Amino acid sequence: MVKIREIMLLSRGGQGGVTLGKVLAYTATYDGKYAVSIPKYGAERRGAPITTSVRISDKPIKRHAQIEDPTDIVAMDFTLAPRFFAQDPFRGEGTLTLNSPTKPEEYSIYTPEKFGLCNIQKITMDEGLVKSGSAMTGIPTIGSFLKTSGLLNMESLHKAIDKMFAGSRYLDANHKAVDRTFNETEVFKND
Amino acid sequence: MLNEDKHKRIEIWTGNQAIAEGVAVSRPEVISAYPITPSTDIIQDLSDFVESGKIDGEYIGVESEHAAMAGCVGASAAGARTFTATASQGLLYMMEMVYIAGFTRLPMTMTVVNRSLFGGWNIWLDHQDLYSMRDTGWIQLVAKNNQEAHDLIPQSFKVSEDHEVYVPSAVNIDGFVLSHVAGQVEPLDQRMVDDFLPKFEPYFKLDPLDPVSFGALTLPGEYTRLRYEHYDALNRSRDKIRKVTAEFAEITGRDWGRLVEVYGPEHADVGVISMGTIAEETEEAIDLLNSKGIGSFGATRIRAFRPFPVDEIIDASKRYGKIIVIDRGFSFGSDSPMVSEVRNVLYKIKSDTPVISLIMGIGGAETPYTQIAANIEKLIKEDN
Repeated sequence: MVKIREIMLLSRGGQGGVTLGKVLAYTATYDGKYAVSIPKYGAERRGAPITTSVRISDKPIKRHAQIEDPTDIVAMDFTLAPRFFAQDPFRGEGTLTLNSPTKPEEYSIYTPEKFGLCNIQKITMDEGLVKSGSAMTGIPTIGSFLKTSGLLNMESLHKAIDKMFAGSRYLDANHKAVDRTFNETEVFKND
Repeated sequence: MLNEDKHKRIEIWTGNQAIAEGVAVSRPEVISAYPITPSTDIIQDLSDFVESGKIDGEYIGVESEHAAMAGCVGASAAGARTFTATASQGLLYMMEMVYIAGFTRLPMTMTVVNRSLFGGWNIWLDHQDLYSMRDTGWIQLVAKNNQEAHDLIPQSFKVSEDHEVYVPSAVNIDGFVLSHVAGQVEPLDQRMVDDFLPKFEPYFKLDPLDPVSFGALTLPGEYTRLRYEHYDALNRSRDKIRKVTAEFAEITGRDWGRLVEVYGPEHADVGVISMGTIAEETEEAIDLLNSKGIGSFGATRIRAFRPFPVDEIIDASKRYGKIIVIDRGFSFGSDSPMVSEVRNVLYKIKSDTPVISLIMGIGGAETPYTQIAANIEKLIKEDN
C-alpha cells in the first residue's frame, strides 16, 4: 500500500482550520509532494468543533474519504483530541501537535512517536492575528506542526503564506508567527 | 515527486474553484445562475470574474433555478456560449427548463454538484440528482478529482457545440467530496484552450435580421422525427467524446480515459464498475484486494453516463468473470440505476457475466477504500 501521511486537524469554527489545510497543502506542493485537504462540512458555526483531513504523499492520492485513523493529529484547541479520540490512534508512531504550553492530564493515553507542545494561542495574539475577537491560530499552528513532524520545509511554508496572503494585512504577522511557533515548539519523544 | 517539471504551476483549488476557473478559460458569453449548496462558490467566483473583467461576458442573476435555466435557454438560442451550475433540489426545480434545453437541443454546459435529494434534510453527496437527469437528452459526464473537473469544462463545451452532436452537456462533480476539497490542479493555459475550443458557431440562432422559430407547434410526425434526430445525436456523441478526450489528452498529457477509464488488470476475476470519486477510491480498494491473494480484481470507471458506454461495457463483460456495480443512488421498485444499465447492455450480446449490485455512499456516507474492499469481498463470498 502507498505510504500516506494522514493528518487530522482539530479546530473550532473561526480559528482558521480550513485555511490551515489549504496552506499546508500548498506547503507540501512546494516541497514536491502530493497533497489534498478535506474539510468536514456540516452546519457550520463559530466555536463548533471542526475536523479537516490533510493527506500528504510521494505518490498521487486516490483517497477521498475523511481520515478515520490518522498518522498525525494537530489540535488547535487542547480540549478537542480527547473528544474525537477516546482511544490512542498512534500505537507508538506519528506525531501529536498541541496548542498548549503543557501536556494536559487526559493526553496520557496517547502514544505518538513525537509530541509537540507550544502556546500557539499566545503567539497568535502577540502577533495581532485576531479577527472579530477570534485568534486566528490556523497558520501559526503549521510552524509548530512542521517542527514536531519534520515533514515539510519552512521555506515552502513561507512561500505558501505569500501565495495565500498576498496583499493581506495579516501577511507579515503570519510569517513572523510561524517562525516563532517553529522555534518555540518543544518536541518530546514518547517514553 | 510532483514537480518534475519545475515550470509546472500547481494550484490548490477546491472542486468548485477548479470548475469556475475551467469556465473562465472557456470564454463563456452568458452565465445565468442561482446559487445552491454545494455549488454556490462556482456562481460566486463566476460573478466575481465577470465583475473584474476576467470573463468578458454577461452574468444574469435570477430569482430561482427555473429562471436560471430559462436564461440559459434564451442565451444559447441567441448563439451565446452559456454556462450554469446547480445541485440537488435546485436541479429539480429547474427540471422543466432542463428538458426544454435538452429537447430543443441547445448547446451549453451545466455543472451539477451532486447532492442527495430531500427526504430528511441532507446536503451531502449521492447521485440521485444525476440519475434524475437521465432522460433529459443531455450528455452527462462525471469527474473523479479536481483536475479532471477542471479539464472537463472545455471538453464539455466542445462536444456540446459540435454540429454533429448539438445537445447540452452536464459536468457532474461530487458534492463536498470534490466541490469543497482543496486538491492539486494544474491550471489550463488560456492559449491552449483558445486553440482547443474555438468560438461557438451556432447552427441556428435567434436573430432579428434572419428570423427563425424555436419550439413552434410541432405535429406528431414532425415531433417524432425530432426525437429520433435527438436520439441519433446522443449516439453520435459517443465517437465525438472519444475523439475530443483523446485530443485533450494529446495536448495536455493528462489522459482520463474516453467514455470509461480502465484500472488494474484488464482481465480479472472480478471487475468493479462505478462513477465519480468512489471510482478513484475504488482504485485503491482494487490494489488492496489484489495484494490479498484471493483472486484478481480490476475496475472500469464510467465517465459518461449519457451517452452510456455500450461498447466499453460489452468489452468489460468479456474481460471480467463477474461484475460488481457500485451505485450512489436508487431506482425504487427496481434494481439500482447503473445495474439496470449494465445488465441491459450485457443482454445485447446474451452475456451471462453476473452483475452484482452494491449501493454505497448515500446522503454523504463515507466510502473509504477499506470499506469498499470489505463490501466487495463480502459480496463475492455471498455469490459463490
